[in-house]
Amino acid sequence: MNVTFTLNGKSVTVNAEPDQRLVQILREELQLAGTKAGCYRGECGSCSVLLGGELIPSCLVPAFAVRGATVVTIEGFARTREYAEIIHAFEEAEYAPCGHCLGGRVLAIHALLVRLPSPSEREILAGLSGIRCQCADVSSLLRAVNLVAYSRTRKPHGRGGGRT
Amino acid sequence: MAEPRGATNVYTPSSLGELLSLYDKLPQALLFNGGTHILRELRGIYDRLPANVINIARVEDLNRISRTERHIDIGSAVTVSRILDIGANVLPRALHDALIAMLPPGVRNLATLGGNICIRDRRRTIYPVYLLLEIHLEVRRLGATRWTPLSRFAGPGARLDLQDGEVLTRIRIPFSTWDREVYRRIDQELESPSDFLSFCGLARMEKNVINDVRFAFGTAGTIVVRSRELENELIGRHLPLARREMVPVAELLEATLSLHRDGLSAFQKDRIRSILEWFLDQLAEE
Amino acid sequence: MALQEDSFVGDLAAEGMLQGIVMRATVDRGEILSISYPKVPREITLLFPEEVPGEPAVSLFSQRLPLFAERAVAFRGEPIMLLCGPDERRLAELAEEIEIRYRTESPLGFAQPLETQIAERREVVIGAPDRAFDDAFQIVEGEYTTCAQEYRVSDPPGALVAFEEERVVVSCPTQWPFHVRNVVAAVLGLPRKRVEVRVTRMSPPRDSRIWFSSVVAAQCALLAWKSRRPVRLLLGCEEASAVQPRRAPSRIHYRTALDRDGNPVAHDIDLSVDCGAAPMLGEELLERALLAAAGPYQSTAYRLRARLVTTSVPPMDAFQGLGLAQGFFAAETHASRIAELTQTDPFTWKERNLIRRNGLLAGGAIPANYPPTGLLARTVELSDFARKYAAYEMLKKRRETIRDQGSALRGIGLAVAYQGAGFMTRSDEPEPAAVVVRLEANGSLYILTSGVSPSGEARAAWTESAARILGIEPKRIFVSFPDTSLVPNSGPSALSRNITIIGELVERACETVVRKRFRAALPIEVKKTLKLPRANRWNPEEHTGLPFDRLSWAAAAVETEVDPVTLETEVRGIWTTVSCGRVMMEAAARRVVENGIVHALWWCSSSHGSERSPALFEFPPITIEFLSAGQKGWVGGIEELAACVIPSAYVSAVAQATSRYFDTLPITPELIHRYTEEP
Repeated sequence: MNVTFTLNGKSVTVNAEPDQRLVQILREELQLAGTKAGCYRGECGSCSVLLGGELIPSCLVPAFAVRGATVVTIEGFARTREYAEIIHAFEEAEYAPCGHCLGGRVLAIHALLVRLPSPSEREILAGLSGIRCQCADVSSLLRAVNLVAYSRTRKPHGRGGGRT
Repeated sequence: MAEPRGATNVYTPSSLGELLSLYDKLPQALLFNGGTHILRELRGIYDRLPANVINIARVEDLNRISRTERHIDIGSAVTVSRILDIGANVLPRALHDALIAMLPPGVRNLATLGGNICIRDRRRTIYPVYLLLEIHLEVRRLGATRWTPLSRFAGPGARLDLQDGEVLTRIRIPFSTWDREVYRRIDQELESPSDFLSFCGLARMEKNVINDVRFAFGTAGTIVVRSRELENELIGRHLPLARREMVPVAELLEATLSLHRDGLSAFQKDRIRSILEWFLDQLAEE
Repeated sequence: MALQEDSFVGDLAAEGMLQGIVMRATVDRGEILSISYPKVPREITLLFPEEVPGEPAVSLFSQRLPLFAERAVAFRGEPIMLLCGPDERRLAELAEEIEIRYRTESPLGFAQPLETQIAERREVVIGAPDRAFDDAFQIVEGEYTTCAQEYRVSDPPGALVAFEEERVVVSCPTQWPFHVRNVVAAVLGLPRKRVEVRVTRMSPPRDSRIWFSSVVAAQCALLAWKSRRPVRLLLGCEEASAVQPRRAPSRIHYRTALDRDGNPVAHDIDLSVDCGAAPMLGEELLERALLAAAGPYQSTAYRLRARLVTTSVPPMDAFQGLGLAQGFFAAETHASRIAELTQTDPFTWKERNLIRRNGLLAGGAIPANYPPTGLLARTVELSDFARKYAAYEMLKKRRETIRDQGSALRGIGLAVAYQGAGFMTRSDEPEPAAVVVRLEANGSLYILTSGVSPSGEARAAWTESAARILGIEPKRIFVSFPDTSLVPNSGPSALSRNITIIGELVERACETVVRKRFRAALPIEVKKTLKLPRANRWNPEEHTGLPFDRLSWAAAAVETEVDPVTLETEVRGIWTTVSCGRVMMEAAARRVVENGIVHALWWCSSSHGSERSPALFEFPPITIEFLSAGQKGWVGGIEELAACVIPSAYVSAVAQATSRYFDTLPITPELIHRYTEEP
């Protein structure tokens, strides 16, 4: 079937099997490798994209459900100021996730801060719990998210300096 | 090698009338909404969906949320995250907590209560909450509508009271005031995933007297542990219970657990006992 | 000069590329009776074991793992045949139609192994243990077991192989690119120089991709060879979970003779390790486990018996801690038990018996360096261990059952351990590890090594060292992309070798460049090769010598809280003190240790090495302190320390909290229930 949707701001049409997963469409039909294929069960978060502005695991979205939708992948998000803020915070906090979860992690942080501009530590951890990769330390992650939250709201919350 | 099977036919009705009409003609079609459970349960990414799929995500009537003074109606296609957006002050606390515990944030943006209720072989995370809140379900088919309590809709065993051509359209959650609403999901790394437990407890108290109480446990399968008899035994009691008052309570609990002799492990049963005791202690402390 | 590759293997593609899949055994053990399949479309290629042009196995030191189950099936998931084709869906559909019939046999287990399952054995007697046991004031026995641990990496295992003119180009994630090269060359029957391996980006593998990558690469190369097209082979998530190597389970039994003061005078240790269907890295695993099982305490008389047991599960891999983690779990938990039985607090007992200068480990092993004074004491101070331990002991003594207390049950445990770096047993490397450093005329420096640095930390450390020694800005220093056609063989990036061995070679090479810089014209290229010390080499038969040329030490306290209602365990805090020589880049070192702690906790609480990653909101407060050794001197590895020191401290804490001795990992709510329900 032909599936037309808005991808990273542009209209695209792909020919896909109706039950082909969005993550496969993005990677194989559209050569967008930033969205990674992981567990295919919605558990690891590596395939996360924004669908209609909301964070979703693209491995659980079939082609027919994408018709007419607005999808933003990490490649599209990378053109935004919010992305630059998050990456800058990663550098400041010396947080270095592996490339496989990076896209999902960045989008999850953005989605969290849209919903909760000044999250507590527990809210950060709960909000990012859908990204299962344990590649990098959590202290730096907390510092990074607090830095972004601060720069967006200009007020720190909780243990902004992170843990020792 | 067998010829490859043809692609799935997908229908996307936009109105309830269109949906019911279509489903009447294709009662074997798979109703697809969030699809989180369906896609997770496929054996592999190349496992196909059935020949006919009806995508109900765009049916407007199924995406509505409406409120009255007495209840809130949630369309079966409303996502969990939209339900949570209603707010912890409006949603029953136990339901709110269960929805958060049920799924990671991204999946909440796809999953629906309707889809969750229609999972046949599990009464896991949130089922006890549905049961205790006495939710009712609107089920429709072409030319007919009925309301049914959840307890009848998802009865014992892996069975749903859903006939061919019938669609779950609304979930009605009555508002009720409880002094205490507790939800716990207990599944920290288990040797056996079948030892999963969830617990929901609701109580109305007045000066340490139980005016009303309900509690239930969900398990990994279809067993739900609840005893109205036990609840009735507790109503009117003054907390904390004296040792001798615990005797009939313990006996009724054992009688309830023995109904599920083969379905619950000794470990699960012990946990159920502990959690009930804990719940009563919590009520006494309030 | 090519720099670090930026793509995961799943992101790579080549023109005309086919997808590959592996047909695997669906029985635990048995014999293949027949394979039948329908007419195969032209575009799909099948490959059977008998078609392998070269050596149909993966070799690792003296071990050999067959690539296929040719007739006998050794484990569920063992490869039987390969397929490749342009359409993954069609391949999957064909795979469904292939029928394999088996004659099944009982799987070989670990609990009571047959003699034929013993792949390696050790038996060492040091001193006079029999007399020591005869004269003992008290004898303490215990048996400690650990489960397999799975580490599910975010990115799937895989490879892309293409034939380019005369070369076979393999792109894959691996910790040992030259091993992949050698295996692929052997499998295809080609000279090694015709195979080129390019390491793709990968999630930090935590020593789970030392040899398994070579298996996948070899399978992929065979498909590329037969189909004459580029082939990409990616393992699915569940497939990877089923067949990827895990941390080896262990069972260690102790009898310890104590003197009147409660100090150990002799150990009788019987150790078994489950290496899965083939003892890959088995010799190393066994040596390390045995060394660690004897504990970090003053040497006494020993009877040490160890065996490597083959079973009907996929072969195990290193995992951080390779053997040391299992051994220290047992040793430290046993030590804590001895302390309790002799009514001494664990800190006093461990501090009193910890090995001191001129002492030997395990009766004959020479520690390259001893634990610094104050290592345990500092951990005790940071964690307030003494006060908490005493308080929790008092609460423990007052309650009759765990429900009596009416509140959460707390405990705190303490452990000390060490890690070495590199292999104990490979004193004669066929190809000594090497690094090349080249200073160009324009002042840029290139570091050529096959070492891989998935998290970037090792690369940053090499860059920092070079910048410091040569006085060059870090942005003018480039670390090569690990391509076996361009870089020397630096050995595996595992077992902390990146920092200790490769890092040291980088430093030595840079120091030589400094000496030559103003005398020789640019460019200057220096190659440094690892020279292992000749004196005091480790002798596994006699259990003497220097097992590692440097040791990092760590002590940890873990405080836990057990919910008496649900029996779930929460970690309230972790305090770790680390002594690892000179600390390069402390912030990075701290991150490495913290991440190791999280993974160690997962091992402590995940049943059967399940794939569930700990949800982030179970993350406890962690304090890490490094005991500084100044700006000069050796740099020790730290990646394995957490796996060596956290599990025992965790178990001891839960034991205090629940008033029960725990002797196994993982500790699950069911286990606590079983142990607390027993009289």
